[in-house]
Amino acid sequence: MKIPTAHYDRQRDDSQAMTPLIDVVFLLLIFFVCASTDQVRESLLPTELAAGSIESPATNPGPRPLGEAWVRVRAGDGDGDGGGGRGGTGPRIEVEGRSFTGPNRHQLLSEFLKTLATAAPELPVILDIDPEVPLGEALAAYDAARAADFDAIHFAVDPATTSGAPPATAP
Amino acid sequence: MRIPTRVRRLGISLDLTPLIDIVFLLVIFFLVASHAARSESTEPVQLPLVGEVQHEQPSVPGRLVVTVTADQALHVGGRIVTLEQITSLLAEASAAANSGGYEVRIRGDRRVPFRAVEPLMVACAQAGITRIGYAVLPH
Repeated sequence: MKIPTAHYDRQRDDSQAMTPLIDVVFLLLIFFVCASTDQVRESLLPTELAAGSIESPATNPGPRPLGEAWVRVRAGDGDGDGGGGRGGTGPRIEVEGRSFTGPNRHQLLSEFLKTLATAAPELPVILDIDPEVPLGEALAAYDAARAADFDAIHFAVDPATTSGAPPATAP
Repeated sequence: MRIPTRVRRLGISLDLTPLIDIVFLLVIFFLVASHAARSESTEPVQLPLVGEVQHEQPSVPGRLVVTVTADQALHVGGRIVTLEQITSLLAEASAAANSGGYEVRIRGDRRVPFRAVEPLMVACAQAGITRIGYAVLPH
C-alpha cells in the first residue's frame, strides 16, 4: 500500500492570499476615519499687498481716477463676532454717505459696492477700519469689496499707531 | 487507520502578511502621531466667515503661518512670539519674497481687534512680502 507522505494545500493558499488585502483595507479605513475627525478645512482669502514703496500716488503714471470710495468700518456696541451679525447692532459701515448697520449690513454693503463697481470699476476702494473693529468684520468688508470686482482695494493705516508705510492691495 | 501526513506547499512561499501588517501599522502610527503633534501646535481660533474664498491652496516654496488668538497673542510654530521677532523673520525671508516664493498666512480669530493684525500687514509690506492670505471659513 502506498502511503501518501504529502499533499498540496492549494485551497488554503488561495484563502490566505486575501488576508493582507483585508488587513490593509481595514487599516486604511480606520486611518481615514481618525484623520477626518475634528477636521475643519480652512479656506484662503488671498490678499496681494503692494510693497511699501508705492505709497506715493504722485509716481503713478496711470490716469488718476476721479475719486475714491472710502469704506469706513466703525466699532459698535453689539456683537463682536463679525461673522453673522447675530444679536445687537454690531459695527457700523459707512460708504459714500451711506451707513449700514444691523444684521444684514454685509449684504447691503455688498450690493452697494457692486452697484458702484458696475459704474466705475477703476474707482479705488480704501478700507478705513477702526482699530477696535473685530477682524471678522474687517475681512467681511474686504470680502465685499473683492466680490464687487474693483480694480484696486487699499487698506488705510493710521501712521500714529504704525510707524510704517501703508499697505495697499491690488487684486 | 488514517496516517497523518505532512502538508507541503507548492514551491517556496514567503508569508508576507505579518510584514505588511507591521509596515502599515507603523505608517499609520507615524501619520497619526505627526497629525497629533501638528494639531497640538495649532492654536484653536474662530476663523472669520466670508463668502468669496479660495479653496485651492497655492503652493509656494516658503510660508509663514502666524496665528493671532483671541487674547491677541501672536503664535508662530506653536510658540508665542513678539512682533519684532516676526519682523526679523520676515526680513530674513525678504529675499525669497522678491521672487514671489514666500507667503504669509494669518490665522486670526474673528473676535480679535484689527489693531492686532494691522501691524502684521504693515510689516509684510515693509519687508516686501506681497503675498499674504487670511485663513477663513466659507459661509
